[in-house]
Amino acid sequence: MFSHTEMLYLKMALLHIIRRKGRAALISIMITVSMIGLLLMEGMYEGMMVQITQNSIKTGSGTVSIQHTQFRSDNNIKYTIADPHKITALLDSQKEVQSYVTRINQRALIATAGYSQGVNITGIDLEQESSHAQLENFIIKGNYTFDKNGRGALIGYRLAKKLKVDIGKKVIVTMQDTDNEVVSVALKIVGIIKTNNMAIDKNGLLMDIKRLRSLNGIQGSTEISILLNEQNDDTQVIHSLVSKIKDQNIAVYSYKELYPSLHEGEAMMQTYSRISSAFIFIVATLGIFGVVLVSVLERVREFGIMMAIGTPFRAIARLIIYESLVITMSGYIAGAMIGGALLWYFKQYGLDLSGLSDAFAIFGMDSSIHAIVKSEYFTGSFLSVLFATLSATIIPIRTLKNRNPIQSINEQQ
Amino acid sequence: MMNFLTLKHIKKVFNPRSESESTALRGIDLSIGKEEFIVISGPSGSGKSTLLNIIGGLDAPSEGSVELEGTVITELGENDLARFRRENIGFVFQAYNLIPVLTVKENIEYVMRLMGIPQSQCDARVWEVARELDIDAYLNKLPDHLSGGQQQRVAVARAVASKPKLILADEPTANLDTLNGEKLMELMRRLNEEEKVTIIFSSHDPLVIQKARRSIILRDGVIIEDSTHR
Repeated sequence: MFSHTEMLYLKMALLHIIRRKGRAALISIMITVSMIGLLLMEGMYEGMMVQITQNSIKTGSGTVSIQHTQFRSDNNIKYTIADPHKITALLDSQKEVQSYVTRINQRALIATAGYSQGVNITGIDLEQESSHAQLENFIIKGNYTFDKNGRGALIGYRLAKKLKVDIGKKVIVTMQDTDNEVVSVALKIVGIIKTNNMAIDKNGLLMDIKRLRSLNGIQGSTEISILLNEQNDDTQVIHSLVSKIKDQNIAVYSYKELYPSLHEGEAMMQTYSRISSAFIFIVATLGIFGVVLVSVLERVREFGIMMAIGTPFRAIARLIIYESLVITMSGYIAGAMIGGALLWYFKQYGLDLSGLSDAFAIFGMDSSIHAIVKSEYFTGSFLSVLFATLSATIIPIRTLKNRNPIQSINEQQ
Repeated sequence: MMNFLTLKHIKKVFNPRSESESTALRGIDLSIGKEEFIVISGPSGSGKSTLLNIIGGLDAPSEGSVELEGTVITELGENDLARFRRENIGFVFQAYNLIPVLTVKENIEYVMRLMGIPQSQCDARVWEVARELDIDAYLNKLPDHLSGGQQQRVAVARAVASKPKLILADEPTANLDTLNGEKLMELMRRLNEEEKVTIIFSSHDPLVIQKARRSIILRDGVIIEDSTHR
């Protein structure tokens, strides 16, 4: 791969590094630490964003949500999908669909002996939700059931705290049916859930969908929540469903449309990540530049000798680049290995921040953050380090190029 | 004798058009034949080193031209000049100027490697030159581990290993004691006679000067004497 002469230059580069091992180690460690920081930042940020998004998607609208066109602007129970089975039959044949559930969402008033407030009532099928979003995993107290005859309810942990209700306590839920008649029902709290989806945790009460249908006198659902195998297939699936459903009263939404703040959050995190990467890249470039410049200026005479005895200048430039690359790439490899191992660990076991769980829950995050590991992190940072190294050598090489051999030799004699 | 090296009206002005402007060479015309053994002498500041640097293409003259075996080296570009030096000229510097991170063997074979000579031929030539200069025992040592005399012999070995047509030596004995200085001059004379290499060196040491066959004396940038001894 390398000629004898190239091998000689590589050897010279290595020997120079060994001669100045303290300085080389310093810059190499700097790159390693930067790389670990960069990888962790990217992996953990993305992990956090995925968690926030997944928490909202799973327990909320899904990746794609099908609703009556009027329901989004007017949360009235009369805007239902009259025949959800017709649509679910379509979903069964859609290969991108991982799972779906039908739900009824309704505004209501919840009251205890001492307190009342507006809540979101969601009528669900426990079995469907279990295979869709593994809802039972979010139970923090009580059981995943609606009791016999559907008289039980699951309540968000923050709402339960506010209403001062616990397992076994009863609440009165009052709502308007399709005829705008007020209907009330007494429900026993059988489970308390913590989903880190604030819409549920703070304002959510989940009850049996059949009971809710019967109370309201409706047959259909207000929403079909769909999870896709690949989140990014949302646009394609929406196009496909719209063309197949062919009903002007039915709208198909992406989670990006329903939760614009999530999408903005993702974009913000990406921008923040890019700015952080750019900052680390600039610091690394300056660090490498300083070391390479000092290293070149210290050896102007040696380079002068090499030029005097016939070494082409491009060979000297290559020697300087090799030297810089050996230092930075050793830092990159160490950083990629350590950072990659840490990311893998946090992907498997998560980063436990249970002490901050309440604060994290406000942002829709769990107390344990699981990192994401992507090959792009490594290729991106490799290119950054490579570019930083090459950029950092330009000025030192130009400094040398402006001298003739004898000037260089005499300069340090 | 045919002209091997021709210098035409060489002038060198340092820091031109500034307060510190100084003229080192004031129009040197010189013809040197093949296989000559020449010393350039003169007091400090007379322009000896500047003249050698210009002959070797290490520095450019302010005016004039240098022609070596039909090639006007003052007209060559940076890369061509580097190749020309590599293939035609060997340098011996006062301060040895070996590459500190390379072993003695690697220093000697360095120019040959640049020329693309196969490793087996490089090895054979290094052994041949090292034995001749009595440095074969130090081939795997770093230059820093050798005495001044040994380092200068390595520098000579590096200069002659690639069989250049011309060797330029700038005060090669200045850092050596009398005995080592004499040994080096004997060695260079032998190389001149046996390897048929043209040698030009600068010195102001009378003991060294008398070893040369032709003596050129410089003063204030002009040749004041050009004589042949033997």
